[in-house]
Amino acid sequence: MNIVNAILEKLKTMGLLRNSNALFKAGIIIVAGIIILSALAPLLTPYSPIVGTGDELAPPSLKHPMGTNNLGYDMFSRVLYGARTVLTVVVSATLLSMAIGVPLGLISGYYGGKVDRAISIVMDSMYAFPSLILALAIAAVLGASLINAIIAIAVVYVPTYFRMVRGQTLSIKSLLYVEAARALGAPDSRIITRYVFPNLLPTVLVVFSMNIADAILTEAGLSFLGFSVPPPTPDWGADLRAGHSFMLAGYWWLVAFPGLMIMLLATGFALIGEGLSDILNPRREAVG
Amino acid sequence: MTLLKINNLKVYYYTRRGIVKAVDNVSLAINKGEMIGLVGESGSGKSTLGLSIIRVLPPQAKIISGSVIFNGTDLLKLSEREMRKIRGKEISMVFQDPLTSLDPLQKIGDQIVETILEHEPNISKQEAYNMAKKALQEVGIPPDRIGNYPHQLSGGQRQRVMIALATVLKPKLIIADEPTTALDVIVQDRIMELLSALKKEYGMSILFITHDLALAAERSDKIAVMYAGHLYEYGSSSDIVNKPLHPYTKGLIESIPDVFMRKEIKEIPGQPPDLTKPPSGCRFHPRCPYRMPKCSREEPPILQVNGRLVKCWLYS
Amino acid sequence: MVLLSVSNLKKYFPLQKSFIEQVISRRKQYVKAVDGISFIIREGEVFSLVGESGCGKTTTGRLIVRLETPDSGKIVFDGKDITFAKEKELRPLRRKMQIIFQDPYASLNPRMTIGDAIAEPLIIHGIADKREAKEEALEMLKSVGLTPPELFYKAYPHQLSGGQRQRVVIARAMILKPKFIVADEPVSMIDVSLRASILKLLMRFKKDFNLTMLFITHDLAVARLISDIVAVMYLGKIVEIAPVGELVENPLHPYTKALLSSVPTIVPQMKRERIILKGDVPNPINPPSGCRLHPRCPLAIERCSKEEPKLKYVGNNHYVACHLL
Repeated sequence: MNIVNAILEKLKTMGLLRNSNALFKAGIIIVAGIIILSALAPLLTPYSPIVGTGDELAPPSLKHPMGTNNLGYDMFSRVLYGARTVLTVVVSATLLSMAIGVPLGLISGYYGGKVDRAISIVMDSMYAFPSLILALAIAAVLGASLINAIIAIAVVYVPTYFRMVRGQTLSIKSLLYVEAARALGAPDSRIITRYVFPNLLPTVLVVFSMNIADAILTEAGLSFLGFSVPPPTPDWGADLRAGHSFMLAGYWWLVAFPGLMIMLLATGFALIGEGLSDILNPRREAVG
Repeated sequence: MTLLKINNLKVYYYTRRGIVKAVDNVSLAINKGEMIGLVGESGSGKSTLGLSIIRVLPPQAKIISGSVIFNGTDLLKLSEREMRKIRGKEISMVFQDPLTSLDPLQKIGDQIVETILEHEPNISKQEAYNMAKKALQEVGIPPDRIGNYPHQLSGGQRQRVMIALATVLKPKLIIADEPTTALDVIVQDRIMELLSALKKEYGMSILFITHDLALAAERSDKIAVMYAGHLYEYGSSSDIVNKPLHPYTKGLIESIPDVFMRKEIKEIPGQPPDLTKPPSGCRFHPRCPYRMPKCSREEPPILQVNGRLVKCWLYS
Repeated sequence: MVLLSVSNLKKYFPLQKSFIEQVISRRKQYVKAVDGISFIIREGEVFSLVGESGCGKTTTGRLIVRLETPDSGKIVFDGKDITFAKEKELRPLRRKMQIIFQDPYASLNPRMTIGDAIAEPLIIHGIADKREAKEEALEMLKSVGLTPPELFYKAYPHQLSGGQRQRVVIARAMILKPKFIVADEPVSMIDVSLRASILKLLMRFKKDFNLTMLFITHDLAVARLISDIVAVMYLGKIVEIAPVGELVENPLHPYTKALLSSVPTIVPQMKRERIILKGDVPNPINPPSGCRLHPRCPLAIERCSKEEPKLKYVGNNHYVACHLL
């Protein structure tokens, strides 16, 4: 908590934070908690997530806190190691998405013209697709693997960053301090890097965290349909896929725990995003 | 004859930064048929004082103590329902920005009629419309524009509509909070002419809140100077402008350029204070060229000097 | 020596039309913000452009520093014709010509420290490296009265008050020791008791660096204090130019007279002939024919609605555009 508070204090001086709030802190706790737990996985469970324990379809007990699935894998272990898979895919995909979408949005928004219109049309068409269906299409073409899952998800979210960055660039571009920089003689490159981009960052950060929440769900969907990492790699969506046919027979723990984890992680990131949004855009208090 | 008497009013704002002592023990009397210019910079508390009279303060503001006696009644003790009977009819308000104070979705005539019928339910709608037309005419808006929406009028015209709204029921007191600040100087002059004319015609009193000392001086009978939540000088306009007593008033006059005098202007050193931690004693003392040790220790009393009120140790 | 010369400058802004409006009427409509103005500013002069909102004074300021491109006319700065110059040609000139805006809150990059903001012009023009720029910025902070300079150097704009921010803006404009500054309403958004110090700062810089200034304001009192020459604008046109004392004591154009009779003053006995204009300022999309003031002018004659008056010299460095003279 102290590290979190120290970082928040520094951001406050920089004018990025007016005050931290409960949403943000709650989100950080959830996400940090999951990351730490999955990092400590080897210490927390003696079982491997991809080796059968001999105990099939065992309900939750002291030995197997989240039970085992039909292949005898310990669910608790699969949940902990699964977090690593999900986080790796989702964070890499989102970062890749940003690396493409943000610069494209900046250039497109700043310079405008025919290039902007062309790129915007492509991005808008991509954006019109429901994310899961688009990811599915790409993953189906590329084939199921970790890298391909990352690429598929990354491509899906490029338009999100592009549109947001382009929109913000358009509005920042016409702000007075940008004009003032131009009047000082600043070249475009400097204006983009030192005036536009740093003022985009808060919004990019908010979108980043909301985006990861969305990407978690997309990844879960992809792997539920069998287009993400191949089995037996631990992955929550894959567990849903494997376990859903057993649900009606009463083996609820095969899907409940992975499902809950998906929800929890997505919610954690969403809370961070909401909290960040509140912090970075505080409501003004009027004093007469 | 005293129309309104504010006694020891304290209004504080409760904000995240702390308690802002916006109006701290201010007393002021307004007589019948007088225009009082309440002059101060932003943060002086002048708007808060005006809003407190008709009790339309924002939620984080609290009236801590004091009384506002109007026609023998303490307005601060009235219920919201009783206040509503007074607002618009006995005391009305004109705000700075007519764009946001007028309902953009209602025709201007309808807005005036609504106000009339609120307070005089026994008047027929037709009669109310006639009153509205007459009110518009009086403020210089051709009555055929009664069906216009606010956005179809210019800034000056919208402000006239606000004045029509505020005067249609012939209130005894109008509180005008920076009514001309957003307007150009020629339009401002005409609006001030209008206010002066209405005041003369109907014997209304006007509390004219502004940061423009020259504007207040030109039109008002009396001027009250506020700084950092306190009232520091109160007297006739000509006295205040020609022979200012309080160092802040003096400093203000010396720092304002004037069209007809190419004089040297002198700055008032320092900054207006943070009202969550106001200076001890006299709140102006950190910036005062005449300060004495006493000024930082004790808050000066309000003294009567030459027919006006001054809050300053120099005159005790 | 003439530093800036503006001839017949025009800038029209096309009106944004909705789709239906575009279908119905093909004809484009323009806001005639600046409609043919001419004036010169000599080295070392403070030239004020005075007028009410919408008269085109801010647009004029922006045209002169080429934040906008004129539609027609000529701007000659320091001997160079910059009317249609491209950004590449303009960049070296920006060392000599700077602009200060009205809004101290919006003029500064919220993500840049004060020190970086002030040093920025030196870095942009490659005049100094980071270390030298920092030293110069600290000096500049001292000379605009923001002390201790080290503290302000590291601060961010949101930590400063409006008056302090405006000082930063002035410091940033002055660090290149420009020849010419356009000041667009530099104190309108500053508290009354703090305006004097900002104005005095500008006046001190003007003296110390022999600055030439184009000072844009709606406040005649400020114009009186700071100017040498005043030009009065109305609806995109200049109606009168005169040395400031002459303008106030001997106004000739009815609009100037109307302004002077409306301005609040603590010496109202000095107000002369009171001219009252009827109505409101008309729409700059369809300005009145002939003299733009004629529908509102109490002294208008028939000629005023037909023929546009030209700026005429009437002696004493005084020019008026009015048929009555």
